[in-house]
Amino acid sequence: MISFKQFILLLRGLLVTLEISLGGMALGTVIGIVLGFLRASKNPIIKYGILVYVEIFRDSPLLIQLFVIYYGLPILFNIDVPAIATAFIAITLYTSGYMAEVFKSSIEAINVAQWESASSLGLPFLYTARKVILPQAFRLAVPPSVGVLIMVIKDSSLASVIGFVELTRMANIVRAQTFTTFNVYAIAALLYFVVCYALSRMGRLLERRTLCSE
Amino acid sequence: MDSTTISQEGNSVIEAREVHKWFGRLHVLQGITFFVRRGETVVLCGPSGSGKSTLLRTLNGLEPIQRGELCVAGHPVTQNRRMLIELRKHVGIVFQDYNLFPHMSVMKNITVTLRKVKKLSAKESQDIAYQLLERVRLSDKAKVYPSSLSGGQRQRVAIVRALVLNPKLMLFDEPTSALDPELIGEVLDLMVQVAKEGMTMLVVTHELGFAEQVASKIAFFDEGKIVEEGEPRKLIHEPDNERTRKFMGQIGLK
Repeated sequence: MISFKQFILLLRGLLVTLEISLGGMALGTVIGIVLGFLRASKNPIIKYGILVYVEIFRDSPLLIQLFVIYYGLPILFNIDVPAIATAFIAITLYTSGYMAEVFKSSIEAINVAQWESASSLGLPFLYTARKVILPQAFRLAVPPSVGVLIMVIKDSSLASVIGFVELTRMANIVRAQTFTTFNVYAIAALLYFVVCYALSRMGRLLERRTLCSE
Repeated sequence: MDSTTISQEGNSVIEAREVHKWFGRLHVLQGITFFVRRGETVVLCGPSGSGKSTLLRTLNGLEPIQRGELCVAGHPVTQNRRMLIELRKHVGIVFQDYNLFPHMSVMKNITVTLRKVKKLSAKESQDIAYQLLERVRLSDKAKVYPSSLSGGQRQRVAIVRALVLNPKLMLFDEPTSALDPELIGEVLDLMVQVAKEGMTMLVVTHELGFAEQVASKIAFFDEGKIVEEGEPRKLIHEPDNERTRKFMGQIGLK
């Protein structure tokens, strides 16, 4: 069995996992909102131009994205990227692709009449986007966003491969100290599960609330 | 637009000349020419799909036209964004489905344009909005959200929201069609009041009672054309055109 101290180490790993996931996803969401509006545009060049970006980051493995940033940038631009920055950038780009599509659907679900009545009142486009459309789209976007967050928390374990010490990497370290492979990974899995299950329950609750208030 | 045409119709708030519009291959407006003078209330009616709502929506640039000339409240209607913003300061529009902003309180729905378009302070905006709400007897609803209002109340708020910028023209796109019958009266009463205060109004509606009460003119639309226009009494009770007569008969039977 692992010691209390080692358990604390795993909890610290979990904290790092949550920090990198939430941090990367927060910035990814900001980018995703902007891209979501562009994806909902009527101009096909903008709409499908952005889709290329979205597909690149959604349809390649996060692990490969991590490798490209971690090993590729030093070669291409001669800059060293530390593991934590790599993880953050990769998760940001990865989630921005998903969040762009989440917000695209939410924005398109808002009746076009809302845009029309805002512009008829003389409200400028950007103001309408921020203050009229986005708050309504946000409510629709919350449940699917929780799904993306759960995915990111699990996928962030891939950053352990480039040496970023989050929960999975911490589990590797503790295993090396104790040689109790099964216990350590079982506890790590349980920690992932508790967080993700709680989020998934919360997501379902929010989903029901969104549906009910329609 | 050259100066001679302006002086001919100098009193007009709406000047439409030979307006054509297509949706794909569908020719929805087939050469509409008509004028609305300052202070007039004009009613557009006709079968659904005849193009009357489309015409109304071209007047504040919501629908672009492909041919012809439109001049509204002294501004040429184009698709140039800056010119549209200028035009829309002078043109209020009320939709069938109210289109209030559901996440804003009644007060916020009204003040948002005062704050953002007229750049008034929060205090000034609220005072103006409150006065208008008082006039339509909805001041007790200032803090609630649209979802807790009846359809009639929502539409009255939508009318106030459009009036708050002091437009030169108010457009109404079937303002009572989505309402339960018992709620139509309160909306029409408000529209009558607005008309009597001298507002220039163009109203797409089948409420002929309203037309008879305040309209100076009815234009009857069919298949993308104005088939007949004239004084409400005459157009409702003894129209010249066969199609108008048939339509008035059908509405009257309801």
